[in-house]
Amino acid sequence: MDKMPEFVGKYKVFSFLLLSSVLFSLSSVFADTPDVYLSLTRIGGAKINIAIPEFSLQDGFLDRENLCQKSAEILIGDLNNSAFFKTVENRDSLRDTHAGDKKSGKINFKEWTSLGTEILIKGNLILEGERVHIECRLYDVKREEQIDDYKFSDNRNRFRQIIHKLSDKITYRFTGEKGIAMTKLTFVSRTTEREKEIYISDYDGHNINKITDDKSITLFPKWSPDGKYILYTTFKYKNPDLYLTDIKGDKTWAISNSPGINAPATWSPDGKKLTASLSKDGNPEIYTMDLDGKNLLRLTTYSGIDTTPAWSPNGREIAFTSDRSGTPQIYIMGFDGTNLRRLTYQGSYNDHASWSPDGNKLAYSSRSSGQFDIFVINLVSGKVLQMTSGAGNNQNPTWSPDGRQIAFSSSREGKYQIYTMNADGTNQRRIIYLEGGGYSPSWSPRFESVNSVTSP
Amino acid sequence: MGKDSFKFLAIICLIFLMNGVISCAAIKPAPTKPAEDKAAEKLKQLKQERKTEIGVKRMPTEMEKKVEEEEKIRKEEEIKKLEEERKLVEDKLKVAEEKMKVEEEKARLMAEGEKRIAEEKLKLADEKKKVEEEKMKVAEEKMKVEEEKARLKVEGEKRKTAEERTILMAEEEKRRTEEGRVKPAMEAEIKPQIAKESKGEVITELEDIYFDFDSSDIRSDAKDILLKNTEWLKKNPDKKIQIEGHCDERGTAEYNLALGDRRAMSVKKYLISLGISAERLTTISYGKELPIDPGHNEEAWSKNRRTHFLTITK
Repeated sequence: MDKMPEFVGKYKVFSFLLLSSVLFSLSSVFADTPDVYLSLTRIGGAKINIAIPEFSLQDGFLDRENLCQKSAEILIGDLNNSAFFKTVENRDSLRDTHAGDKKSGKINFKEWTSLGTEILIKGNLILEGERVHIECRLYDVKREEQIDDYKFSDNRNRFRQIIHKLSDKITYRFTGEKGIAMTKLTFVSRTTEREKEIYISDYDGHNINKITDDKSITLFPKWSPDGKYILYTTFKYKNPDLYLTDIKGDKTWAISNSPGINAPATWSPDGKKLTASLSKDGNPEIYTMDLDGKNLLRLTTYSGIDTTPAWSPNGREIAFTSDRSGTPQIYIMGFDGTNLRRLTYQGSYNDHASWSPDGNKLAYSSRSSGQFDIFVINLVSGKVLQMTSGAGNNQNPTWSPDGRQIAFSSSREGKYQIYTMNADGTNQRRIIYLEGGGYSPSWSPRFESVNSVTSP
Repeated sequence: MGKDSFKFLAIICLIFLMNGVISCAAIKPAPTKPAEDKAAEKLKQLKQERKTEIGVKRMPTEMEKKVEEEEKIRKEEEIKKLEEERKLVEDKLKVAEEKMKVEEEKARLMAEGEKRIAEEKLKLADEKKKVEEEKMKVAEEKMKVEEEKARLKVEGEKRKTAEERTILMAEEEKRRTEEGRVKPAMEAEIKPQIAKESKGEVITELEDIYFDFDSSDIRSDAKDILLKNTEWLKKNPDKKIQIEGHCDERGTAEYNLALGDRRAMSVKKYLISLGISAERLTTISYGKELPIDPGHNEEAWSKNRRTHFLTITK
């Protein structure tokens, strides 16, 4: 009787050991591949070589819209943008090897390896009325095995979005970091000589939509932290007033329309407050307010210009531009106006501070040798890095939500247009061309609630 | 029992051995060697870069810090000096503003009908006018020829813009009535505070004035024009005007919106100082959004740094 509990106890210990060790060994087997790639990508140096041949279409369907090629191109664009992957570029051998695989019904891993492939992605498209189903398999070429498969379905008019979603899945699978291929940009473009309107596009510049129709000057769109609204300034009622619109442009709300300027403005990181430059007291000063424009709190008391506020990601500080030193320079203060200090000393004209998502850096535009360029100051080390140079002006930097890219407006090719670059200044490219130009971009957050990465 | 425990130990040992084998197999590196080498190289590079960064930073920081601190102190001192100077200037401005206020009050009193002050003011004004008129006559005669030429051009352009505006207004009103039902209550609450639905009319007698780069100070040439504009305002006491502040294309849209506001405000203050009632003057900044000359050179820029005047009719 006395020995029974001891016996049971031993078995308990035994079964625990058995279970845990089996779990451990299992997890080490299955978590092996991603850990290797995770560690590679987290170092930040090595890019994963990924091969994406054209997708296949179900038998008996004609690919009139060229979707097979498009899907591969969109995915290649996304993964190259992410800076984690390098896509295998030899198109001919890619096509030949892919065709060989199709013929034999097997994947010729040796040949894929010889093309420098580490990860192979094979996609199938199935068209069904207005819907498109995408099935995608990921292979580890070295280990000669399938490591994942994804399935998505959506309306055909959202084709690019489905591929972006796939790209975010793949990015997350190999880096542990949520992708940004589903994010969007909002910006301003001129519609007539005297009118500008607010636009929205995908992060890669496709899928452009005009969301305001104020037939007036609209300026400074700023995406809300939850991605549902855009704050902007409009002259619709013959004064620069602060307005809010949903991202479809269906509903608008007046926020602040005091006499004088009510702009520019932006959000607090929790989306519950706004900060804006208002001149209702005689000159432009920085205020905070609730979303209905009430509960106004004035933070600055200088008789010249205080403008372009930017709330820090941790909500504690506000960067802004002031000419109190004689020239426009960037200052930082607490969200209640205390602890004011000057940040920039280089350059005779600095404006438009934009905090990196981790709060460690500020991008801004600065005039150097007569033209404006994007600079990034590291708030920890104080080190300043110039991101753009050469022809034209570069202004209005805005960070991608992963902090790995910066969108901006540049006149390097004549008219101002929207460009993006990696956060280190590499890979600068125009992503939009509009006759009316592109100004004042603001990068959206990730749309977690609507299109979660984890739920297919 | 002895045997039992021996068995347990043996099984546990076996399990651990198996684990070892499985995890060994699992740890086998998956990626190709070149990739591994690349990664290792990059790691080394990164580490070296970090080391050198740290090395470079640490060595001179103590030296540099002192220099930097000295520089900072110097800069701060300079800033203090500048700020003191600015305070003096601001004090002067305050005095000037107070003067303006007094003058405003006088103007109001005048309007209320206190004859003495009005008469005194008129006398003074008349005397000033006489002197000014004599000066002006010569200048005016010269100007007339030029003005007439300019007017013909400007009138054509301005008519167009005025026409465009009235069309826009009509469209807006239509839209407003259509949208009125949909708009949330919030907007209705705030909107009526300001009457911005007024219409603008260009008066050719009201000349634009121009500014220096990144400045809202009234230049001496602008003062002469504002004096003339004041004459017109005094001759047309029932007219209200809107002062539009504009900037050139250089600089950011954000800062220029603020600068345009400052320009319009400084003109408003100046007109008040010349005896125009504040109630007759409203301001708006268009920043750099509406250049009058689309060029990208100093000639265009100097034309675009301006305040423009419109009369407002309700």
